[in-house]
Amino acid sequence: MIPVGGVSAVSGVSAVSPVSEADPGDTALEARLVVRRGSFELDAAVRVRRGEVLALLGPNGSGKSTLLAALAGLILPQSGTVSVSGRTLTRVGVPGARVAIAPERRSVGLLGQKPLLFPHLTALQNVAFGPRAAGMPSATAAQDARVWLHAVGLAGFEHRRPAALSGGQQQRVAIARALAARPEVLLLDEPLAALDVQTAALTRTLLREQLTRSGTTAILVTHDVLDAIVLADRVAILAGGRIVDEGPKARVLGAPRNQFIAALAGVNLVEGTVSAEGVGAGVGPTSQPAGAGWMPASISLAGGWRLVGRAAAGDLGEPGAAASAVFPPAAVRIERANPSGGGVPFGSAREEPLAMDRTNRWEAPIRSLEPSSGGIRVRTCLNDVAVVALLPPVEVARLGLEVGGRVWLSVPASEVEILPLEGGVGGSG
Amino acid sequence: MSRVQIGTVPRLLYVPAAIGLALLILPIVGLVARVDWASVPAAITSRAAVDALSLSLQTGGTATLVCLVVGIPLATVLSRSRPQIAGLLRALVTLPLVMPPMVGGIALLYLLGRNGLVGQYLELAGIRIPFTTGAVVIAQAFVALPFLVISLEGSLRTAGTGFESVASTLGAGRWTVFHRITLPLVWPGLVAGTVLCFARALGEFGATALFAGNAAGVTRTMPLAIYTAFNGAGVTQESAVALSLLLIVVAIVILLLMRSWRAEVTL
Repeated sequence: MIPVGGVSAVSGVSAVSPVSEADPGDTALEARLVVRRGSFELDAAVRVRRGEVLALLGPNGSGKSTLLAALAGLILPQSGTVSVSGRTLTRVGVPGARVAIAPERRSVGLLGQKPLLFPHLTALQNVAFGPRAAGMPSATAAQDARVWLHAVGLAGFEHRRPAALSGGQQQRVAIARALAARPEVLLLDEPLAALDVQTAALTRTLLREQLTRSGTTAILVTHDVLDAIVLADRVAILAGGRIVDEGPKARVLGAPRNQFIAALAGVNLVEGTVSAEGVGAGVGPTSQPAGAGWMPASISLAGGWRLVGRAAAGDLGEPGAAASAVFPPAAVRIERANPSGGGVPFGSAREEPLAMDRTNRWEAPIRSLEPSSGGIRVRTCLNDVAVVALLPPVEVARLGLEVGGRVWLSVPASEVEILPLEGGVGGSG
Repeated sequence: MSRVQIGTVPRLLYVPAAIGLALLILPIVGLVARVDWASVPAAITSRAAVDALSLSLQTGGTATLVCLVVGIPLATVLSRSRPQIAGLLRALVTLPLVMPPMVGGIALLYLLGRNGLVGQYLELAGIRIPFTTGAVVIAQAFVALPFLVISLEGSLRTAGTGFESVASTLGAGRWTVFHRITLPLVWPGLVAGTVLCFARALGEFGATALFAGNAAGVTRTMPLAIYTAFNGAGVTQESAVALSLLLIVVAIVILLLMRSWRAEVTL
């Protein structure tokens, strides 16, 4: 039976239907799903090409694991469809015969955060489990497993039980086991999250090698942007059960469409509107286009100030259209006083643009100081404009920065990219 | 090793703990003290004793097999049901455990006896169950099954469904997952449950007495033989004591076997 709620939800799915310009024979997995759990609703559409790795980035509780469980057939969605290589695996609550193929007949593998190696079997038997279940003779399966263990650097560990392996070794066996089953699509659910930093780095490299070598199509769920950068070809951002952005990783992470993606990508994003004033002559020298196709641009912010930078020609909309300024924390400079003299307090009656001395400069209080791998992250916030600066520790000490203190921030226009700001929720194409 | 640990148990607790231990151990000490060792060999090699012990082992073993055949599936279903259904099923399974075995015997009579709910039709078909060796097995399975199901269900719940999900995404069907993953994972729990089940079947008295009676060689298991001997019908109290000792020894052997097996497994 098709529940009434399911039908209405499907129309919701169609609204976020993915791009479908490519050859359908090229598509390894295509899914549109609505899953409700209490008050949480996942409503997402994904499509992965053959041999491609799609990273699904999102914070905890954004519905990533739920999506994977529905793709693997471990849970049934309220409505939606899942197909792998054109074969329908799930069709629930939409027109057409109801389909719910069992997990073992989907050829969709799942590798989670925990290795979940079968504790009563040796490493070799664990890796051979998939091929054996598929009917491979035991001697052939054992030989196959030996090759896979060798590929993940665990030759000589064939007869160890999982309890006699380290966490990193266990996860490598789990990778070998998942790939040895030769799934058409492999779902990776935070596969490195339980490992320490060093082991995670090694395992990440190994996973990339093995995914590439075997040409496995994969969906990687993670909240670590590094995983996405190293392992994925394309990135989709899942927030609050919706895919809010999707595309090539360089585009999605390099030109973030909202604060959340910017925070993930580790860049600053300030939202405003395309400025009607264009770019004043004063900013000319530093906003020199870095290459062909770039043009100077600026955005207006609440409070009457502007941020100046550059935009891809023809990329921005009409003046007044939503746009954002994106710049890396390392490009932000901090001074105790305004070097252009005056120390004009921000937000005064002055309506002058702040880019008065060829730079974007404003004063803001420090909200927090956090250590990070690249130095100290100085978080500032003014009128809901949160900007992070990354400074060497020695610089923080020299300036005597402390939480609550007011500082002058500036960012060279050459470092600021002005991007059209698209609607945060709903747009997946 | 020889590490000195600082105690964390409140000292006052040691007193009731010692009393509890005494309550469990002293009766057995009393029994052993009462043993007339000279008469033991004759008592336990007597025809009546050998018959009773062999009947007990046979019926207890058969009842345990029956429990395994129906209990493993029941525990599996129980552990993978939704909470409301599992709660109801668990209450039903536990009922024979908390019910006096004597009441169980009466209940079995009213189900399978000559005028019982099902028994009247069996009677028409020429099948009579009460007061047969089969009745002993049924009575033992009735009281022992909950021990197996509850302990196995606990193991299945602890093992969780994570390994099973992984196995299914590796392409293993439900039956393959069950016998290659689920059962091996709960093997220690299954063995412990089986031992408990067998021990309970061996000691079963109340339900057997009412449902199967006390016919020598047919339904007179060890507990019934001990009761008969103790009441002085035919044999002396001396042999009741000796038979009790024998049953205790059997129980200790079972416990030791289980311990050594578990030690092997955890290695």
